[in-house]
Amino acid sequence: MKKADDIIEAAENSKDTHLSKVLGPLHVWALGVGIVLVGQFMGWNFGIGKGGSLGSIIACWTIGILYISLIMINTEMGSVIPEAGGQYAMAKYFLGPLAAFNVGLMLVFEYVMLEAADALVVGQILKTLSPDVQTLPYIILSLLLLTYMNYRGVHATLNLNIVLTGIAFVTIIILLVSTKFYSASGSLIHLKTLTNGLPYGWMGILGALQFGCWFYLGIEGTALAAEECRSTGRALPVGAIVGLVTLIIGATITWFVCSGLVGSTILANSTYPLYDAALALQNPVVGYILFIGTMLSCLASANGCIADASRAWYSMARDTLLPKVFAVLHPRYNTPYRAILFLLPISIAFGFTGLLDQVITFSILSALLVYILTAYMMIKFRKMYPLGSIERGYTAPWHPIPAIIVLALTCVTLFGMYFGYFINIIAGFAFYLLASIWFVWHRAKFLDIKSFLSAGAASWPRPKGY
Amino acid sequence: MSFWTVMNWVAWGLCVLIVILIAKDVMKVEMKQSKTKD
Repeated sequence: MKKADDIIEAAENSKDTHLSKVLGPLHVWALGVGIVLVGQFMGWNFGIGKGGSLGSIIACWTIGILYISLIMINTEMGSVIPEAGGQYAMAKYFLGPLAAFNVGLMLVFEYVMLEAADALVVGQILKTLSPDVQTLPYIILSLLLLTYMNYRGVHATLNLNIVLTGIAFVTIIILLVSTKFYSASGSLIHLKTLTNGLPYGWMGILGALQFGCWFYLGIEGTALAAEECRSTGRALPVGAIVGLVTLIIGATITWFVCSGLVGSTILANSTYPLYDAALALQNPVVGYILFIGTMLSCLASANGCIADASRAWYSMARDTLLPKVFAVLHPRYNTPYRAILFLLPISIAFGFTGLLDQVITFSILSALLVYILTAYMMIKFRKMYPLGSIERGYTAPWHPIPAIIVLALTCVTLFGMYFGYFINIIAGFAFYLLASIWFVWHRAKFLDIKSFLSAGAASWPRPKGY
Repeated sequence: MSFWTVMNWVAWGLCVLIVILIAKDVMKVEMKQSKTKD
């Protein structure tokens, strides 16, 4: 009887703490691209103010190399870890509790800042319709509505993301076609003024690198969906890599169209560069289409961010790095509802500031710190589990070159962030340092190391050297 | 009162409505969970 009770209790506990497996490759693609596509519609253009338009596109392609490498290493590690949490779950097994806590916190703030930036742009672009529009109610409404949808269930929100993302991507193509770039005589692209060169020289490119990240930041969020994939080994690499290729093509089109239609001085300070490019065409239909595209991309991105941030927070609580009060799933919707609701006021507070470039910078800083740790984790992972020692859904080629590329480019980008955002770097490092001190002095004693590593310990052999 | 002034109020009203919907469900869930624990 006691054994049956134990089995029932274990099943109920298992049901309580594990998310449903409902996602295929298309959902993973939508989760990745849906979060990131908004980077084409806003934020990347601040790089023009740092490095000029030429510096911006060089930053875009350079950071594209970083993300290709990141996707490779992320996908290999992600394909063996069948838990929600992405790089956080990887850090658990490869770096230990303190690093895992930091990675989890960085992921959460990366996405929370991004969703705040998305909501901010929704409010700002609505204001273009009339001076009577107040931005604040729409910022809060966007976040509340998407939070409520995430509260109600993941499958519906990601199905919605597929639609929103697809429409937003199509609007970029419509804008491109509207410029008649293919016609030598009828093209509306000002090729002669496409770039303003490198106004700050090569140092300007360094300053622009962080905004190059904005084209792709969040694509690594696909790994956070691992626990909810029907077939992790197939859905994750296919979805993530196709997503990245989509983004590189989209980024180049975006830069070409915006730089060809809008002067660099205006573009460098625009809150919604693609929409401004559409307005420059003086075609009201295209203007409305890009208005809709910008709104939908922001909403799709915020939707994905709420899903990813809450899952990271939930995973940390499930693993006792955060209070267990957050590790509870909704009995009916099976969503981490407490984590979802806890993070809502934080994103509203940052959206309320109205400082888009500052909010974006904090998101990028958090992401860059995660990437540094991810690169280190990959090197450690291959040493702990050489090829053939455990089953991998995907094997990153040319190891350790991708990890070295990620490490090098991330460090260079952080250095470039110094140009204009020195205070943000100090504030970010101070925040994570204080959080680490809190964890070591207060939280670590609550850590249940057995449950922290139980899934991996049950599935994997002992690592090499341990 | 312009259309967008009205829409601002509508947006605020929708915010309040969503907060109420979430709060109602959360209270229901938390009360059920505390009864289960008792």
